[in-house]
Amino acid sequence: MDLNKLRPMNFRWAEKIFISLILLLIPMALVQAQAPVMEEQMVYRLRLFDGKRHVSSFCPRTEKALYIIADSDNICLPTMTLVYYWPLTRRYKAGLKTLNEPVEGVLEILRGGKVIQELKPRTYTFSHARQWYAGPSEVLLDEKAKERYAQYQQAVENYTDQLKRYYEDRREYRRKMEEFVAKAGEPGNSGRTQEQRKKIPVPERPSLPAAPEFYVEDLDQAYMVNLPAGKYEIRLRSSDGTIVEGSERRLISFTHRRSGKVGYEIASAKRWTMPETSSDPAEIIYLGGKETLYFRPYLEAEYDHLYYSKLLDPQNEGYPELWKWVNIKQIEKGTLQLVKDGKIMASVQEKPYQVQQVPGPELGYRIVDYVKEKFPDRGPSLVGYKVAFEPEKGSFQIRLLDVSGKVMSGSVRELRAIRVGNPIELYLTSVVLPLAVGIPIFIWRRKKLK
Amino acid sequence: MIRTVDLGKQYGDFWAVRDLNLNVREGEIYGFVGPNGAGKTTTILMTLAILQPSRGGVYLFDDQIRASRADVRRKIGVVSEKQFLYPQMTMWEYLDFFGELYQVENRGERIAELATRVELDDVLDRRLGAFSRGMQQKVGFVRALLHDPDLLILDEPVSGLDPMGIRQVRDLVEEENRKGKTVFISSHLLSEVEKLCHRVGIMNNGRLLAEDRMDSLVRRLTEEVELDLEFSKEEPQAAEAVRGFDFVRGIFMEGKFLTVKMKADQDYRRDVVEALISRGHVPVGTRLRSMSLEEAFITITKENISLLTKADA
Amino acid sequence: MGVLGFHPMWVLAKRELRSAIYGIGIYLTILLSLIISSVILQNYIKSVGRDQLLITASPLAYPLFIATVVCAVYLALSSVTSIAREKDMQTLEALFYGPVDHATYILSKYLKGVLSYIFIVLFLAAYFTVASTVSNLGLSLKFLGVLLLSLFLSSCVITFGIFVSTLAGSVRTSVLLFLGIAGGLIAFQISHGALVRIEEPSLAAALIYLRNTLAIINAGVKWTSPFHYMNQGMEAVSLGSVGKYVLSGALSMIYSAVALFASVLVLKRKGVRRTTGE
Repeated sequence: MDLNKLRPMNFRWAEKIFISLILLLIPMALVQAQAPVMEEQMVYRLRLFDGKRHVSSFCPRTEKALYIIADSDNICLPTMTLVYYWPLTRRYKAGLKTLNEPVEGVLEILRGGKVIQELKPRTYTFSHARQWYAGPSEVLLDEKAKERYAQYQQAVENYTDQLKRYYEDRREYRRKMEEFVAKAGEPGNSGRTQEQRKKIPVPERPSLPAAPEFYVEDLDQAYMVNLPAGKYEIRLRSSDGTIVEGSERRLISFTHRRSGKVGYEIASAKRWTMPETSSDPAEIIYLGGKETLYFRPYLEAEYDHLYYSKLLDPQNEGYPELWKWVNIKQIEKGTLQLVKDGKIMASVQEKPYQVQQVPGPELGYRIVDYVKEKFPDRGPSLVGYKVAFEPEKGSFQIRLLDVSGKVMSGSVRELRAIRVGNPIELYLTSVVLPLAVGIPIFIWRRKKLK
Repeated sequence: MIRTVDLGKQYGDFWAVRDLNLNVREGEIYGFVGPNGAGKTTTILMTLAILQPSRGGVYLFDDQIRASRADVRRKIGVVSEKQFLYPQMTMWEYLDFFGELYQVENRGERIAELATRVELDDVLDRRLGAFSRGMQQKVGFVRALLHDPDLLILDEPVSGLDPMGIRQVRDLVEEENRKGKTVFISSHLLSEVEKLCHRVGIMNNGRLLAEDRMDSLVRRLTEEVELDLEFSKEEPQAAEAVRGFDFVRGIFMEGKFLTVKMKADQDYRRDVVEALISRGHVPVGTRLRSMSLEEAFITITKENISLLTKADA
Repeated sequence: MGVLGFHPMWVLAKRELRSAIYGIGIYLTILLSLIISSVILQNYIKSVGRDQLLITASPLAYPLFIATVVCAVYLALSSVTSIAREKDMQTLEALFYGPVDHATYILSKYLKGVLSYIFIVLFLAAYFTVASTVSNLGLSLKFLGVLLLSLFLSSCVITFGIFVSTLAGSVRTSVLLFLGIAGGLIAFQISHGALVRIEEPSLAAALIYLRNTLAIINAGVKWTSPFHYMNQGMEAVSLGSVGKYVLSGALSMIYSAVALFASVLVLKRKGVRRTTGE
C-alpha cells in the first residue's frame, strides 16, 4: 500500500511549505546562535563629568571623537580589551572581564597639530558623600585621593571594630537578658520578694554602630583631562616614542550655552516612582484631574545636544545644532509659590516624605510626612515641594524663590487642567467648520450657473 | 506693423516655414491665405512668440520690439481658429477675467458694449460650456477686442459662423479698421478675404509666394478682363462699334448684353463706352470682371509661382 | 517677467483660487485633515486623562502638523494637475496671447497654491482655537510657529507639484508621474533609512555596498524631495530648535525658488500648445 496516495494533494503542498519555512528559519537561528566576534582593541575607558556626576563609558575604535565638559576633571584610561558588536542594542561592548589591560604611555593633547599637554597617569579616587550611588561625588587626585581613601579605610576599620564590639555586646546582652528573665520571672524560685525583683537592673540593649556615611572608591591610576573649551586631538605615545595604534581621537571640550535656569523633577502621587522632568520654561504641566505633585527643582545648564549625548556615551546619537537642558545641581533651599492671576495663593517649603503601604489586604500606598523618629531605619522615599491640584479651582502658576526671596530665573511653570470632555465636540467642529462655509458657496455657485 | 525677416521654423528635417519676409503695414487689413499645411498658423504663433523661430525674427510695431514682451502683447488682440474656453465660467466671468488681465478701464461697460455688437448680450450669465461653436467664436472676438488693441490677428475668424455671423464679423473688422486698427487675417474663406482685405499674402509649402494689393495681384496674374455692358434694348450693331480696337480680344452679344474681352494691361473701359455712345449705343450699366482671388490663389499655389520682387518687400 | 508681470500673475491666481473655493474638493480635504487631527487630539487627551500628567510646551503642534501634511497632499495634487489640465483643455494658449509669459504663469500657479493654503490655514486656526478652548490645552507661540513654518513647507510641495505638471502633457500622466516620483522618493528614503540603522557587522558585504551607494545617492536625492523638507520641519518643531526651524524655512524657500525656475524652463521648452501648428 502506497501511503503517499493516502495523503490529500493540499496536504502535500502544506508539507512542502512547512519544510521550506523550516529550512529558511534554520540559518536565521544559526545566525542568532552565533557568538559575537571579539576583537582586541585599544579603547578609552572613561569617567566623564556630566555636569552633576561622573558617568562611565568607553570609546571604541569606531568612534572618532571624545567629548568632555570644559574646565572639569575627567578620567581617561587607555585600555586593551576585547570589543564586540551586540546587535540587539546595536552597540559595541567591551569584554573587560576577559581582557582589561591598561596601556602605558604618555597621553598627548594636541591643538592645531601641536602638543600642548603631556599627561602621565595619576592616582585618583571618587569620594561619594552618601554611599556610592547617591549624593554628590568628587574626584580626588594624588595625595588628596590617598588621604581620603585612608580616611575611608580608617572609618571602615573603626566601623568594623565597632561592629565587632557590638556583636560581643549583643551576645552579652542576650546572656544578661536570659539571666534577667530567669531572675525576674520566677519569684518563688528566686526567693526574692516582688519589691526586690523590681530592683533588678534591665540589661541595656547595645546600639548598632552607624556605618560610615561617605564612601570612597579604591585608588586607581588613570589620566586626568581638564581642558578649556575648544577642539583638540588626543593620542597615546608609548615609551618607545611611537604612537599607540588606535589611540588617536579628536577631543571636543564644550561648555554650556546658558545656565542658571530652573528645571523640575515632578513626581505624581499616583506614579511617584516614575517622575517626569520639565526643563523648558515654556512647558506647561497638564493634568487630567485632581492630583498631588511633588516638585524637586534643580539648576540646569544648556548643552549642545550632540556633544552632550556623546559625552554620556560616545556611541550615542545626537542632534547637531540642537540644545538640551541638563540637570546639574539640586536646589536645596528655596520656597515654592503658587500664584494665580498675579496673587500668591500659597507658599510651600521642601519637605521629606515617606511612602507607606496601606496595611491590610487592601492594595495601595499613601504618602505621609517623613519623621525620622517614626522611621529610624530608613530615609525618606522622596523629597520635594508638595503641590495639590484641583481642576475646579482652575489653572495657576508655580515659581521658585531663592533664600533671599527673589524669583529664580526660568522657574515659572503653569499647571493646567485638561478638559476630558465629550469627544463629539471635536469631531463636530471638524465637520461643521469646513462644510458650513463650503456648502453655501457650492450651492450659491450652482444656482448662479443655472 | 508686422515684419518678419527670413523667418523660419524647422521640425527635424522639415521646414514648416522658410525664409518668410512678411510686411503688414499699419492701418491695413492684410489677408494671409494658403492651403492646409502652408505654414500660416505656425507663422501666427511665431508672431505671438508662442513658438520660437528656428531662424530669423518677427518685429512688431516700431520694428524694434519682439512679441515676447508682455507689454507688446497688450497691444495685440488674437482670435484663434477654435476657442477653448473655461466651461465652468460664465461669459461675463470669462470676459471680466480677460478684461482684468489686460487692465481694461470700465471693463463692465466695454464687455456689455461688445457683447451687444455680437448679439450675445442676453447670454452673459450663461456657462461657456453650454455655448455653440459660433457663440464661442464670437466670445473669442469680444475677448480680442476688449482691450482695444492696435493690432488684430485673426486665425480663421469666421470658422463655425453662419452667414449672419460672418456678416457681423466682417462689419466688426471693417469698423475696427476704420478706427485705425491693423488687421491680420488668416482665412480659407477667400471670398471674405477678397471683400475685406487691402492686401493679401499667399503662402504655400512654408514660403510666401505673393504679397500685394488685390487688384495688383490679379493684374499681374491675368492677361484679360471682361467688360459687361447692358443696354435698354437689343443693339445688334453695338458689337461693331468696338471691333476695331486692338485691345479687344473677343466680343459676345446676347440680347441686351454685350461682353467685351479686353487686354488687362490697362483700363480700357472709357474707350469702349465712348465708342459705343458715338455710334448711338448708350449702355445703361457696365461691370468689369477680373480674375477672382480664388482663381489667383489656385493659379499661384498650383503653379507655385512666386510673384515676389524686391519692390514688394 | 516683464514690468507688468505682477498684475497678470495676481489676476490668474485670483481666478484659480476662486475656482478652488467654488469647488467642494478643498472643503473635503479640510474636513479630512481636521477629522484626523481630532483623532490624534482625542487620543492625546485620553492618555493624559489616564496617566494624569503631560508636560509639553505645545501639545497642538503635532496634530496641526499632520493636518498640514494632509492639506499639502491636496495642494500637491491640485498643482500637479493644474498646468496639465489647461493644456488638455487648450485654454493655456489664449492666456499667452495676452500679457502673460512663462514666468508669470508659473508664479501665478504658485501664488494660487500659497493663497489656497492660507485659506486652509484659516480653517485650521479656527479649529485649533476651538479645540484648545474645549480641551483647555491652550495655544502657544510654538503653535503659531508651526503654523507659519507649515506655510514654507507646503510651498515645497506646491512647487514640486507645479514642476511635475510642466513635465506631463495630460492630467493622467501628471498624476501618475507625481505618484511615481513621490512614491519613489519615499521608498528610497525608507529603504535608505532602514539600511542605515543596521550596523556594518550585521550586514552582508553586498548590503554594505548597497547601503553605501544609497547613502551617496541619498545625499543628493533628498534635497529634491519636498518630503525631506517636511521631515526637517517636523524635526525642528518636535525638538524645539529655533535654529533648525529658521534653517528649515530658508531651505524650503530656496527649494521652491529652484523648482519654480526649473518649471519655467521646462514650460518654455515644451511650449504651451498641446500640439504644434501647421
